[in-house]
Amino acid sequence: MDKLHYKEMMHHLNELLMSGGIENKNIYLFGHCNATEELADALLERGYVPTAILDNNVEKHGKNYRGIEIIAPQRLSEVKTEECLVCIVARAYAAMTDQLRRSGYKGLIRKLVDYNSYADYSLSEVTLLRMEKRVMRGVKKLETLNCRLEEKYAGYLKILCPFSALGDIYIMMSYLPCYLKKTGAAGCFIGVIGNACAEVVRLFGSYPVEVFSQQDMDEIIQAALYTNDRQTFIPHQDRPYVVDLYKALYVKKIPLERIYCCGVFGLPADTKACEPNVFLEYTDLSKIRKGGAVIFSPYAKSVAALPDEMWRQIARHYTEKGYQCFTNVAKEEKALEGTIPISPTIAQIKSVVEWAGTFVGIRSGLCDVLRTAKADKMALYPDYNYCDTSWKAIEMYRIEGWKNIVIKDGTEWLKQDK
Amino acid sequence: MINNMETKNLTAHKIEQAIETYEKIFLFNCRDKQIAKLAEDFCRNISCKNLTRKILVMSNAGFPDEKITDYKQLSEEEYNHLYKLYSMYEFSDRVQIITEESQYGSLQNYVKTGLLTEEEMFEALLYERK
Repeated sequence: MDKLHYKEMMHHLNELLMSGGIENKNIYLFGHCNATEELADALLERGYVPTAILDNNVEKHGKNYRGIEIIAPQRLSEVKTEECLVCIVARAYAAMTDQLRRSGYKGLIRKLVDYNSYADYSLSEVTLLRMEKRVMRGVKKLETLNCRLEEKYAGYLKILCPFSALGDIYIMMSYLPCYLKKTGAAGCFIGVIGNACAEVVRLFGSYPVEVFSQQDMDEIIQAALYTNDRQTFIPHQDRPYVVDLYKALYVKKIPLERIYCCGVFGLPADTKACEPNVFLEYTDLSKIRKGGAVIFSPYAKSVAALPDEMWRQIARHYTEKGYQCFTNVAKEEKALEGTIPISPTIAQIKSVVEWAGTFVGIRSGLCDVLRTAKADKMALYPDYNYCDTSWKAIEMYRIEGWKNIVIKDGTEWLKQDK
Repeated sequence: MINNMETKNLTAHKIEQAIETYEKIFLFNCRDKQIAKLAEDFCRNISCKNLTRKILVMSNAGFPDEKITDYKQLSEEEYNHLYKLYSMYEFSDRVQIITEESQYGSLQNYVKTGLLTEEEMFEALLYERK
């Protein structure tokens, strides 16, 4: 979860605690994802033990997070719902609430993060008016953007990326040139959320790119849909709600790259992905032992974390082998014990890894940025399913040419690094 | 403006009722020939399946001979209002408008690029959470 959403979640959680709304309740969390795990952590730290995590994915049932069992939402019908509180920090809040209510659940439901301003499962007059205001606000923002772009980039396609994820942006950018060629567009302007995503865009060349807030991006995209703006393209597999590509995963395994190539852009399956070519050299390479260092990347925004113990084992293993060990960190993130913190920019990280010679990271968007780095690279996958599909994360995100390793409960690192 | 609002509210009310009755509602933009063909195939597909869920198929143009129980033809005005509503916000996950899109990718791209068969695409559209 990113910092802003985390702050919002904690603010709402504190409000809930202050109001006493959580006391003597059986707490359920809906949707097993990274955000839910962070909420579970926050509750446990405050002495509240959630009863269970509800999830629609049958593959997850029976598993647990820190001892909290993952169960089917239908199991709520077996308990006295007036004593229950369901907390939701997932994007599908509206759909989850709808599901619970339709199944007869009458207890409390609290949204602790507003991830998805597109959705409100109501057609009341009040909601309609509110949503009409929202879309009109977006129309104004879209018009302003169009006016601004018209001066410099007449005839350009607006590529509006609805979600802040480095990996998504990387894969999108690697197929974008072929898509532009297919459509015959004069060029394109790219809108993203967050500076890191803009940095990924810049790896691929001198595209005009601009950073938007999540709210502005959501509203501009909504306006583009509402006004049927033909100069807008939204390159994502499941956002906003009108995009149905994710449904294919219920019947077939389609790795993320194919989703972008064939589903998002409609390009032939054998289309060759473009590679980024605008990297910078890290200024302090001399402080890294060439060919004798390892860069760890234990943090990811939207992926369930690996157990601390696993990272301790990994760091110890490389230290004992005589490697100089670094942890790639951003802002408040802590370096793994016994390792040196390092914070290259996205454009510099490739030079760092190539210089060090070895990279071990949780499978995040950073691994995509490092796809073409010439080094020994290992991507670690927590043993989880992709969204509510039956496909494992490794099946969706595997990277060719890397060592792809699934970390299960009880995995021992020494047995992996062979 | 007031009349326009009234019509919008009427559309909203009708779709609200349909959402209460049906678990999946598909609206095909049959002004597009390819979508009209897709709608025909879809109806043929669901007519030979023993679906346990209630599905409503709607379109804005004449519909195939295929016998499906729940079908509703919308006027152009009704279609436009519903389309506007659909593109204004997500009011349900039970409604899906099938149209030829250039603003974003869709399941139809998978069929065009050979990753899915049409049958698989229909299966994906009709998927029910276990």
